[in-house]
Amino acid sequence: MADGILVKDLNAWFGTLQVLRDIGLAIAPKAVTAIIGPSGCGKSTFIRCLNRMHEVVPSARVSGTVLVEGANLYAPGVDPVEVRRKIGMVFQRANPFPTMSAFDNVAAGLRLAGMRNRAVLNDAVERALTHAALWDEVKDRLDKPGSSLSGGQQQKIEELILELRKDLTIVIVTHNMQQAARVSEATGFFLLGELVEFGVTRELFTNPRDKRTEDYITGRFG
Amino acid sequence: MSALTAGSALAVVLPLILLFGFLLHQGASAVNLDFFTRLPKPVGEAGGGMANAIVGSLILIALAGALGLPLGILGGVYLTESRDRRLPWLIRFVADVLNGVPSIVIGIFAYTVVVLPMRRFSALAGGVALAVIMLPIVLRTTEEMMRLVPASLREAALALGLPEWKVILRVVLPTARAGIITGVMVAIARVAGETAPLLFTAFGNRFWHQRLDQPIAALPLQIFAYAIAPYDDWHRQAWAGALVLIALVFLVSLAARIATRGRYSAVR
Repeated sequence: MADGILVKDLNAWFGTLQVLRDIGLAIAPKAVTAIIGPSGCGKSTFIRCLNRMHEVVPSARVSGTVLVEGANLYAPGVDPVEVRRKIGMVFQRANPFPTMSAFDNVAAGLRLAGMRNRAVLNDAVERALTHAALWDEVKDRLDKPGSSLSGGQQQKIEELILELRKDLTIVIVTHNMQQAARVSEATGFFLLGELVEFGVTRELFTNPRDKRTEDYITGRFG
Repeated sequence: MSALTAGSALAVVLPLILLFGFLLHQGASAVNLDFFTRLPKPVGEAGGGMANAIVGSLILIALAGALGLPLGILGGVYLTESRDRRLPWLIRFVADVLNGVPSIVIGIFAYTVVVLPMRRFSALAGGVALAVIMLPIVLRTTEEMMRLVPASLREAALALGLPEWKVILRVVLPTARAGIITGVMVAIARVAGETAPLLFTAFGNRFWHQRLDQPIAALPLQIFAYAIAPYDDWHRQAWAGALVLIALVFLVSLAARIATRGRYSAVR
């Protein structure tokens, strides 16, 4: 029970526009959970609520609880900066820091955590880039602008997700339903800010309980 | 259409070229080693230079920069980052008004708040007057340049768990650096040539500068004094002074361009 992520009564707004309504679900630890749904359904807002990134936008507001390993991220006194250090986020579009070299971009997170040891940093950067299948591509220009880093190949990234799953709890938002079906154990379908259906991926895709889920995965809208 | 736009662009550059050519023609003959190393000669003696005024202008610019740049840049950061609506709006409005205030009025302001209490003209008073002129320029450029930094970069930094101040210091400001430096250079170029606010603050000085609480020479003041004097030799030196002043601004801008080139920066 203490593991994983438990979301209860989660609501989110931009100004007066409510983008998430009473979301509740349990995300299993050390597994991949996919969030699918049409554009504007709130799926991005949902994962941004999981590491307190939603409130970064002016006028944005959140209510409800998100328990990660039993602790509420939205409890008073919780430092969002600490939350974001523990719960990482990979953006849909690669956005490297243009003022940093490729090396510094990859090492940014680790440096921030206080790591100064050059050997450890070198090792971590090589390992990370190798994992993303980018090492051969960028190893000779690590001191060049970070904007030369590409996002990596989709297939490699899916392999990486499956590997990371051994140690991490992963939630991924995707437009690509095949991808969701391939990499995830559980899938949630969002529509107009509501969680329509949440369940084991195979069942959701082969035998959806809700008519709207069925319409979406069979491509009737999207 | 393209001929029209190209012509307009050229018309912008033309006055500067003509001005520079004219200054070269009139002033180049008086620019020599003495001009940069000697004090002005007493009336009636030929020769001498404006060394004290050149040094004085540099000191005044440094003073104004030391006062105005930190305030302007920090204030610009506040304007960009604040989530409050009213106060930033008010500050922006006041800064824009201040930017339009004639510089002579700013001179009177510095006279009232610095010269009168100290009971003397001083380099410090001149520095304060110039800093007040720099402030709104630096403030607004910093704000505009920081706004140009894509929100996605801020978010990427926040998502890594950087506290807000570190996001600003390590990501936003470095990305906007080239633009902010350009704004700083515009401000320096602007105050380097200001004469009116120095008339009753820095006051001018025919000798080497001694202390910051004493009157100090400045190139624009010296040019003004020499230009209205009835001596041909002084007129030539005034032209030379104008030439040196423009060259100074030109060099500062050039140095800034070179300094900001190369390091990868998104916003220019």
